[in-house]
Order: sequence, then structure tokens, then C-alpha cells
Amino acid sequence: VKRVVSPAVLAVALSIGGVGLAARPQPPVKLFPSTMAETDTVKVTLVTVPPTPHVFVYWGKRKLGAIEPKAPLVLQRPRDSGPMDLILQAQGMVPVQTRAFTFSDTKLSVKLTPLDQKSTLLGYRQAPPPDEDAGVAAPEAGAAPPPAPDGGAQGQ
Amino acid sequence: MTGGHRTTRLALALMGAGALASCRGPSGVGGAGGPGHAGDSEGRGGPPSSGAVSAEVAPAAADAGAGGAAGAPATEAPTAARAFVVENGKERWLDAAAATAQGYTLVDLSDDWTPYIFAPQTGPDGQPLSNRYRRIFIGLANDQLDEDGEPLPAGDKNYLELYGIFPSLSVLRERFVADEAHPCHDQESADALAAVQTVTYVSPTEVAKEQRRVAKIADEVEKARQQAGVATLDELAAQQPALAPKVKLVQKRAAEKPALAAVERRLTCEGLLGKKGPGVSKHTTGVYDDAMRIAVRTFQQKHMIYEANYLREKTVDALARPLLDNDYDGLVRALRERVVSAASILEDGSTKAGNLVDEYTKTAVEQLGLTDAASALAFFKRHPASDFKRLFAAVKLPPRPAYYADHMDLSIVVDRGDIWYDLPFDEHMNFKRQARKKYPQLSVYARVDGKLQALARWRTTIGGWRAEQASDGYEYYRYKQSDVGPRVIRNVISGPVWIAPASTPIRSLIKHKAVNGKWMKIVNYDELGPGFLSAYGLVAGYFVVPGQNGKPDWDNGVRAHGSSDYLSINSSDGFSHGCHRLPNHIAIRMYSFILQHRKKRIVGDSPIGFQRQFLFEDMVYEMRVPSKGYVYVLEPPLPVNVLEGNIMGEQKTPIIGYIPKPGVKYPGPPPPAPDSPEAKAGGAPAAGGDE
Repeated sequence: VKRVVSPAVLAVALSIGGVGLAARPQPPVKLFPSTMAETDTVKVTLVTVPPTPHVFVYWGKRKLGAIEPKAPLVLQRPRDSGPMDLILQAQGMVPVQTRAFTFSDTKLSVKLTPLDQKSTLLGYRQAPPPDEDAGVAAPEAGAAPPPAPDGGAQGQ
Repeated sequence: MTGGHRTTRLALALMGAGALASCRGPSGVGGAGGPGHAGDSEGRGGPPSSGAVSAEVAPAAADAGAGGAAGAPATEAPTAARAFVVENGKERWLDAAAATAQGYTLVDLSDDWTPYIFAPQTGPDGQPLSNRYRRIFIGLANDQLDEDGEPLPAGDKNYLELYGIFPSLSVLRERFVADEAHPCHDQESADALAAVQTVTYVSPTEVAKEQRRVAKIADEVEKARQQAGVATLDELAAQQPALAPKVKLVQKRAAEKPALAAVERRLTCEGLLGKKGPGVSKHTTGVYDDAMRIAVRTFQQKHMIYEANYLREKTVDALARPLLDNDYDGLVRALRERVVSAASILEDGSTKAGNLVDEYTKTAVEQLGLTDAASALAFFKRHPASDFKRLFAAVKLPPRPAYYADHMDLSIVVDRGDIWYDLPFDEHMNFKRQARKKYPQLSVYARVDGKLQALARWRTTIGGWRAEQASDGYEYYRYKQSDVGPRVIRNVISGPVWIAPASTPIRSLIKHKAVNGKWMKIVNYDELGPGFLSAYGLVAGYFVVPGQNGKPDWDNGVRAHGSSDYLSINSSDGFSHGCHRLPNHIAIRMYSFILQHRKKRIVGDSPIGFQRQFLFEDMVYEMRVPSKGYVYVLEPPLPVNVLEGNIMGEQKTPIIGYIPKPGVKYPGPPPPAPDSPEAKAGGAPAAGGDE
């Protein structure tokens, strides 16, 4: 006898078993007054690249929740209520400060960088050489070719 | 943000001739206005009485439903169903359309007023075009939101006139009412401040040493007075001129001590000094410390005083005036921008075209019976704050010059003034000053009867030596050129966003802010925008070379834009990254005028979805920019010409590429310099210590 399993039952079973074969949407973190209508709010969905377990999200001193590989964190805020400056932290990753806007529903895909790949990031500074005299070019070193006819405009 | 310790003064024209005169009474609308004749060219109407005014009809019920202050999206165009006019000392209502037909101009006094560049617009389909910054602009003007558009902490105030955002009438009303009850003004303080023009700055670490030095000189001149057998030090100075400078110093310092005490009392009473809380500096009585400097800066911002953060002449002058007199000047400044907007004028006395700005403001102020602090206070007592949700005043302004039209033959000329291409330091790596006699200017012209007539002219900036972060993570100097030759402005963007190039020093992209109760470092969106602190200010016109034969325009990153760095514009050491800066309120006036007198297409919000990550210390910061601003396209574009100016020094052409900073150790030779258009503006302090 062929048994038919309804999708709802299957989802519950997967969820209980913790198999994680399907995304498990978390309930939105409601960050708006209870008197406000849902239609006056927006949802900001947070995911990470690469998908990383236990990415904790902070808004100032408040911990909002965690992003999981198949369970984005959804924040619900009043529409056009100003930005949210968030910090994402995960073990073995460089923490990230990012901003979520509230003009409309948005999905924020935040790139995480492993600690040992810090040097790939813009702004990473390599240490200067130990020799004190190294690298100081004479001022004339940057002297330029003659300017363009319009007085030195660049490009084109 | 407010600049370094420089003596800079904006031309009177920038503030409006009467913004802050040297007299100790309220400055009002200034004396530079024209004869202020009323009635239009057809002789209708006349100047209503400017005596005491009373309300014949309370406006509270009128039109209050539309719009709203900062909390609402406010995308609907504010409209006037009726407006009040003052006749024979009484306010009465006129139907708005009838008033306009009778030659009245409607001045919007509503709390959700914005200048034209942020006014609600509709697209070709008649649908409203959302302007992301309009809500924030209104929230800032109403002391409801902060620069990010988040709620302003209770009790905080936005003093943003120097940044181009004038307080709403409700905010001014609150100021008047509070200051009447709490005047912060006593004769002893007024006398102490009247005895000085300025108060000498003494560094907190030098106070004791300076006191000993002055005491020694005082002792010396006192002995000399006794020996000379004269009664006063003035007689001594007259008898022995060699001692006159020392006598003057002793007398000046003696007068400055009670003056400084009076300043402390005033700033404390106004709630600007003696604040307590995390991160707030503690003030030591009698010392010009950081707490005092910040309080003075806030006072200057409150009263739109273009001076460095010291007790200089205009600042001391304003500190000596009664609060209500200062409030009145603030009201006149706010009204000036609304009158300028309503009349759509630009001429501010900076050229021979006359000073319509002050003339029209004076006319409006007189017709509304707001001629002094007392009448303004009475006006605000008649009108509760709720009246200002929607309130229009009808005034008869003088006729505009005949060259005004819906589409005017306008153009802009930038004269770069004196130019130095030489390195800003000598062979010993010491900075050397590059003096300029002629500073850059931006002029707006109209072609009238075949001849160019300058309507307005202001100091502006050109590029110079700036710090840039190279791909090796180190900072170098780079000469940022202001291009020369004919250009056009095709796009004007309100609430523009500056996409910081990768060469921007990282340190300038970080700021501290209290976020949901925690003090933390975040991406500094202030400089990116949109906002009054943006590198492009509140509005920018983009200089481009028009594309030929189907090619796109060439954009080399030069713009004429508003700037929050208001002291840099008139500083002898002030340079930009190539752009031409104007004070924000001037840029707003100029572009509002251009947009109202040129054919244009309104594109509206321009999404870009930009993002970039960078490392600072042990944190990645992610910069996200959802929109580049609200775009107006001038069709045809506005002609611009940038004059070469006078090339000074030995270097006759600009140096291209990175120059190592004196005293910095580098890992190797400089990497190649990037060349993106956005690399032109904002970013970092100038070589000469600007910003």
C-alpha cells in the first residue's frame, strides 16, 4: 500500500529530526510597537556568505538572534524608521559591522571572512620594513608628464 | 567637522547682509535691502500696516490635516487652501488662489517645508516620486531626527543652519517661549562682555604660566605708574608710549576675566555648558577647555556664526545679546530661506544685480508685522505649535526683474584664482605656505539682452594636495586637480551620495555612535550621505564634458556642491579634492533657483545597491549605499566654464601620482594612483591641515 505523506507532516518530521534538509524560517524578530500594523513594517532578511553556523547578530547592546546556514534571521521594523547598525559575530570569522535600511523589504547577504584570510581585506596593512630609511622616495619621484590640453584633466 | 583653528570669515553676502551685524541689538533683516516698496508692477495692493498685529481668525483649524511633520512619509506636495495676510494690524484669511491672483506670494511657514530640491515631485505618470532624504530633512529641522534619520534623543537639539537646515517655525516658537521665561541675561554679564571685543585663547596647559607672565607685566607697569606719579595706567601709556603695549595687555586681560565668567554663565544658562553624561568633557571654571570649546561651537551653530571655535568678535557679540534678540535673528534667517524659495530668487547682493534676497525678506517681515523680537514673540503666542503643521502667509513682494522667466539663459563660471602646483613642503620636509591673493569664485550668470549679467558670486574651493590611501594601505599625498575649460551640468542630485573610493583613508570612514544604548564604531555614513555632512553636501551639480557622436558624457568627478566644511570655503588654507564647494544653504538656493528656471526632467530616486567591505583594527566594516540620491536632469544642460586662474610658483603643471608623506616609513615605492571620478571629492584632511 502506497502511503501518502502530506508536506506539512514531512516538514514537521524533518524539523523534529533536525535533519535540516529544508530551510527552517525563524519567526521574525519583531522590533516595532505592538500597536503598529504589520503593513507599516518592513522585513530585513539576514544571510551570510559563506553559510556559517551560529552567526550572532547584535544591535547595540541587544542580541537579536543567530543566522544559521539554512535559517536566515528576519528583523521586522517600522517602515522608513531609520537604519539599523548591526554587528555579526561568528567563531573563526572577522566580525562584521553592517547597516540595514528600512525603506522596503530587503535581503542582506553579508560576506564573512575567516580570521586567517584577513590579509585579503581592503585596508589590511602589511608591516613596514625594519630599515628606517627604506621606502621614502624623493619628492621629485612623482613628477608628472605634461598636462592635457584642458589643464591636466585625467582619464578618457 | 567644524574645521580647525583658523580665522575665517564668510563674506557678508553668504549670511545675508543682516544675519549678524556687529551691533548688539538684533540684526533683523539688515540694512542692505532696497527701498522695500510694496505692491506689484500693476499697482495692486500695498504695504499692510506693520504695527501691532492681532489674530482676527485663529488658523488652528485651517488645513492642518495635510502633510505632517517628520514622522510621515510626506511625499504629498504641501498645498495652501488659504493663507493669512496682515492688514491693519490684524491677521485675516484669504483664499490661497484668490491671494495669488491678487499678486500675493504665498510663503510656506509649515513645519514640513523644504527647499525646492527636497520638495515633493511627481513623475510623468503623475505618481509621487519618493525622496528618501525629505523625511530626514524635515525631521532635522523639527528636532525630531538625527543625521541618520533615527529619533533624536529627548532634549537634544539640531543646530544646523551652518549646514543648510534652518529650524522649523515650531522649533523657533519653542525657543521664543522658553527664552522669555528664562532670559539668561543680566546687566553684569552684558557689561562684562561689552568691555571686550574678543577673549584671548589660552591653552588649558598654559593657564598658570600665562597668569604668572601677565602678573609680572602688571607688576612692572604698576611700578612704572607709581614712579611716573600718574593716576592711571592710561596716563602712563600716554606719557610713556613704549609701555603702551604692556598697559594694553594688562587692561585687556583684566577685562577678559569677567568676560569669560559671563560667557560661562551664559552658556551654562543656555544649557550648552556643564552638561553631564558619558563622553561629555568636564569644564574647569576660568579655563577654555574642551568642554568650553564644544559649548562655544554649539552656540555658534545655533546662531549661524561663521567663526572658529573661539571667543571672537561675532561670537562675543551674540553672547552679549538678549536671548530673544538672538532668537529673532534666527527667525529672520529661517524666514529668509522661505521667502527666497517662495519668490524663487537668487540675487543676494554679491554682484551688481542687487540684493533681492534681503529686500524681499525685509518686505515680508514688515508685512507680517515681525519687525522685532517682541512682535515675533507675540506672533508665536498667538499661534500654538499646531498651527505650523500647515500655515501659509500671503505677502506682496516687489516685482522680479524683467529677465526672469520659466526658462532662463543661465550659466556658471568658476574662476580658480591663484593656483599652486608646487609640493607643499620643502627639501627638508617642512611644510611651506602657498599664499594666495585671489581666491576661487563661483558666479551664476544670466544672459540679459545679449549680455551676461552676474546674479550672484561666492567664494568656493578648488583642489589641492590631499591625503589618499594607496593600495598598500599607506597614506600618500596627491594633487587633486580642478579641471579647466567648458563643461556642463546635466545632473543635479539632491541628497547626493559620495561613493568613497578605495583610496579614501580608512580612518575617515569610521565614526563613533551610540547604537541602541551601546557606544560603538560604525561606518561613517555622514561623509557618504545622503545628509548635510556628506562630501557632496545636500545638493550637487555634476560637471561633465558632453559626449559627442553618441558617446556618453565624460565625468572626471568634479562637482559644484554644498559642504559641511563651512570654514574651509573661506579659509586661506582650504582646498577640496577638485570640487567647488559652497555653503550648504547657498548651494540649496543656487540649485533650487536653477531647477526652477530651467527646463528639466525629474528622474527621482536613483537606486545603486552599492556595497564594500574594509578592515579597520579587528573588525570588518561593510558600507552599504542603496541610492545615489534624487536626480534632476537639466534639458538642455547648464553651461559651465572653469577658468584656469593664475599659476603661481615654479611648478607650472599638476604633479600626477602619489607623493610620500614626510616622516612616514613606507614598505616600498608608491603604487599607481587610481583614477575614478568619485576619487575627486571628500575623504581626508588636506596637506595644509584643512578640515
